[in-house]
Amino acid sequence: MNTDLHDRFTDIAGPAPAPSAATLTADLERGHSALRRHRLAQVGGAGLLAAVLAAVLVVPGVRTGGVSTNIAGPPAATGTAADEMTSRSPARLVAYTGAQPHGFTVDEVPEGWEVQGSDESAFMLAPKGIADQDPASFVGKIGITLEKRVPDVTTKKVTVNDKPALLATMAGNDRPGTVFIAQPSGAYLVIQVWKTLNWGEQELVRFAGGVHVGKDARPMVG
Amino acid sequence: MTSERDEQFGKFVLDRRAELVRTARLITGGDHHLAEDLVQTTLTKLYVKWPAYRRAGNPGGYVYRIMVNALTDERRRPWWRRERSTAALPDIAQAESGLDREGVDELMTALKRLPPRMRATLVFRYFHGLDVAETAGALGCSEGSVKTQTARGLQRLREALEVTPGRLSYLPGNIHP
Repeated sequence: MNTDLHDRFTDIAGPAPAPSAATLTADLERGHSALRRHRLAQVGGAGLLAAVLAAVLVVPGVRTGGVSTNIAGPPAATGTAADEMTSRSPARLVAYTGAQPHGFTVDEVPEGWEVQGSDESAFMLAPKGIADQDPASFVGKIGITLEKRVPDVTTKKVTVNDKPALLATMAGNDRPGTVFIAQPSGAYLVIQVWKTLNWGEQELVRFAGGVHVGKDARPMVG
Repeated sequence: MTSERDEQFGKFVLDRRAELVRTARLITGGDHHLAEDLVQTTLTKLYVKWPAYRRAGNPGGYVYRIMVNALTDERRRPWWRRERSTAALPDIAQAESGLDREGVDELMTALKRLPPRMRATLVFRYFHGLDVAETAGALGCSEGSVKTQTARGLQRLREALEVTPGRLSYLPGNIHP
């Protein structure tokens, strides 16, 4: 290495302080947001299917109109078996009694599910005991985010809690798995259900009606 | 939310962020604001790609490659300077190295006029001291390309600085390392 050039490069580079706690936090928050967008894009993105699914489901054990609705999506003992189990075993949608996620409230969750993690822009619901304990991982789970805009997807207009909403069938899915609910702030509450839960429009809209954006929630940035 | 990824990434940021900032200042041609943007973008991409980084045979080169690609990507985006997400920029004070300020400024101007990948090649070779193979790994290109970029980069620095006699003595004489 040429020492003189190295010295001049060193001078141009200047000193750099060690990162502060605030800088570290900001780096992590940007990473979290990017990872969520990345995973959203993996199930969304271009070339999406039209939202054509009717409200009729073919999931065994589904009941509608009762106190509780059987839906697919039970606790899974292992991550590798999560997809298969969630698609074949019924689980009831029950009142959520655990600690509410930061920035949001949720009225009902699939029986045996919990809030796996949350921040001011998102929270993740997952079966208790699932092997995948990464709260930023979406596989086999329900992800809820607050977004500034709706991506370029084909959607169907629906209503959730008297608010206009858009139902989307994302790439790789054969039924709607994502709903965008307009908020008074102009942001969108986005609820995304992993495809193996086998939810249809009716289940998705019902669940979405029980998710509320609090005053501390902030749209994702970065 | 915390996870193993967060813990590992947090340690990486504490250990390596300052060095990345200094590298970014050089490959942006001394633009401290763009350098901070570039580091943020690099770290964000790195967080998403963290499992691949952990598996990488040359993790240091993996990070540099993300940074160079991010610089190229950023320059294609018309809004690349508009999106800022930190309230305060880091300390940008220059080092007191005893080198002549004017000469350093001229080198910085000349460096800024080089294409980004050529600039990065010189930075990896002469700031970080990477050899040709290591630089090729960091840039994701062939060793021959590194040699060519190095030679052309040094030549262009010479041409830019030769109007000022005495400014060239610190440049490597052999342009084919």
